[in-house]
Amino acid sequence: MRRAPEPPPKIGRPGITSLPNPNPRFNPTRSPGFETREAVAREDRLRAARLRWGATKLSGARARELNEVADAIDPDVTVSPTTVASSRYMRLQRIRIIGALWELVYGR
Amino acid sequence: MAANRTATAPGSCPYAVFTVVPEDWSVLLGTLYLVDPRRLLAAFRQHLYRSAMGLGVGLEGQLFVGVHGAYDPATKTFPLHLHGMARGGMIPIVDGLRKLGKYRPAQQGDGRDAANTPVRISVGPLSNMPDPLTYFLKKYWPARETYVDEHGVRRAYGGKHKGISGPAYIEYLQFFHRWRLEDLTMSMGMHATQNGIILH
Repeated sequence: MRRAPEPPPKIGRPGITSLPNPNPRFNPTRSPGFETREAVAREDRLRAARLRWGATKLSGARARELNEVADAIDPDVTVSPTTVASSRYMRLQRIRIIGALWELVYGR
Repeated sequence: MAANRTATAPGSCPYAVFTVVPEDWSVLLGTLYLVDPRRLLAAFRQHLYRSAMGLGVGLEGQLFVGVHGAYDPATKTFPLHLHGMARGGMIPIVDGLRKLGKYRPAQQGDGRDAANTPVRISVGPLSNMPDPLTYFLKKYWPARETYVDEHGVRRAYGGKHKGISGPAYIEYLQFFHRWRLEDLTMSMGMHATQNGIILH
């Protein structure tokens, strides 16, 4: 069986996640279809619940791993998530990245 | 405040949004943990170099791509692909990917893991902003069931996409938890800083 690739270190040169909050003119939350803060918190709760349910079907390290991911996502456990698996984290990054690209397309 | 610096006058450069599906990028359920998105993006970078060489041009312009996926319950696979945006000289290079063997469309009964339209590119002014820009950093991976049509070509069912469910859902969340956004995206000809995007 092949080994999984080594996960990257969580530290390193700042990259795409180092972008600042966008200029209000280019803030994608102004778009009506963009996910709301409440919707992503609901989604994170759902994800955490489904992961914990998945963990009940497993045992040992695999169950522990799923519970760890659930904790990293769950709004009741982690206020400021830093994982791509979290809808709240992705909303924040999407606002910054989409905002920066939008500003790039339109110029200043 | 974001401070995007443009080396050229704003509005003078065309943009394109694109989707590319390289051959053999489908991943079987249960093996997503083996995928290293950095290697996929490094391979894509090589494809761009080869496309540029084929066109006899250097790598110019800007590009931003993100690894995206879906889950196909019919084949129990995650067909991975890239959504992105190209600017200036990078547009013909992305378009030129069609000439590479890795981007040949699926043919009837050829048995290859290839898409029907491996390179889809839309060039022109971006309208209805910021919707086109949300496309390459999507909220979630959908479930996208496929079927084999009367010509033996695999096609996706139309209609609204649903979310992934079951073991595939847990596998996809674990995959996302494992990697950073820096590993799932790639930019060329520009880089992100705490002051905004800087063009090279």
